[in-house]
Amino acid sequence: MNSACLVLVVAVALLLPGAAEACSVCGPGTEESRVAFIVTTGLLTALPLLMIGGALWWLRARIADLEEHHREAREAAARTAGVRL
Amino acid sequence: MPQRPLQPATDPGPVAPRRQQLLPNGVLGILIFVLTEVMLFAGLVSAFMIVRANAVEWPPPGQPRLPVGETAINTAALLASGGVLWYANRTYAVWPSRARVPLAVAIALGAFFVLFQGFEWLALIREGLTLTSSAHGSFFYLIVGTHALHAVAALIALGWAWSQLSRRKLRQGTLWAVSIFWYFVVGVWPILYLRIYL
Repeated sequence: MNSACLVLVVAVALLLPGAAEACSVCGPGTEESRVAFIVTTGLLTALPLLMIGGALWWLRARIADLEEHHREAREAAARTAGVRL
Repeated sequence: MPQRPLQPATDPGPVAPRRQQLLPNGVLGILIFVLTEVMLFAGLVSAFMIVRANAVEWPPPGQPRLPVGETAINTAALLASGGVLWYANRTYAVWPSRARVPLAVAIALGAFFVLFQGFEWLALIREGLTLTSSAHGSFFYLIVGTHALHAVAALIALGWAWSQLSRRKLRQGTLWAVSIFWYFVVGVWPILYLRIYL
């Protein structure tokens, strides 16, 4: 099984072209297009991670706020009932 | 007479945990929708940036330049609309019935933005910039048109919220959700303006 995998990997590697230029700006593109390609790749990679991270951070902060609010409400209720915490 | 130990008047006992919603369902739904829309616009702008960077001359020869100055005024109207809507939300939290006027002003400013863009499109079409005239025209109408579509949808939602408010049926969560959609429309526009018009 392992040797079959090895043969497959070598065969695929031999079939790979010398330069993969499926992207129109990777090979003959200008410096400006190369920069644009890198910037947009970075943007499209980072943006979803930043948005999901931001949403999780915001939810965590909101949970903390609600818990604090509940704790204060419980303390107030206990004080009203005459119990020293 | 032996004294009894002091007891609390009432024993509150253990407080039953109560589940509380972090944010209304409508708000969560619109947030997820907005996140996906951000990626849609990021993809469109990325494609535009690559094509523009590859072009020898931009705009292509024979194609009109976009009206930067006039659109700057329109951009200001849209940003003002977002600010007024924020004020309407603040007012609603304190005195709901008083939020009608700022909400109507926000809708009017948004409608001005869409109508102004419509006139701008008509002028550009007359000058020869069409969807098929060049990559410039294709990207312009695709990206700005997608934004306009969102603006119209958000304006319809805001109008519906205003009518609900007039009938005293509007809930805070609903106004919040509709506002988030409009803030998205307002927030994405300056990026489009900077990338496409300038």
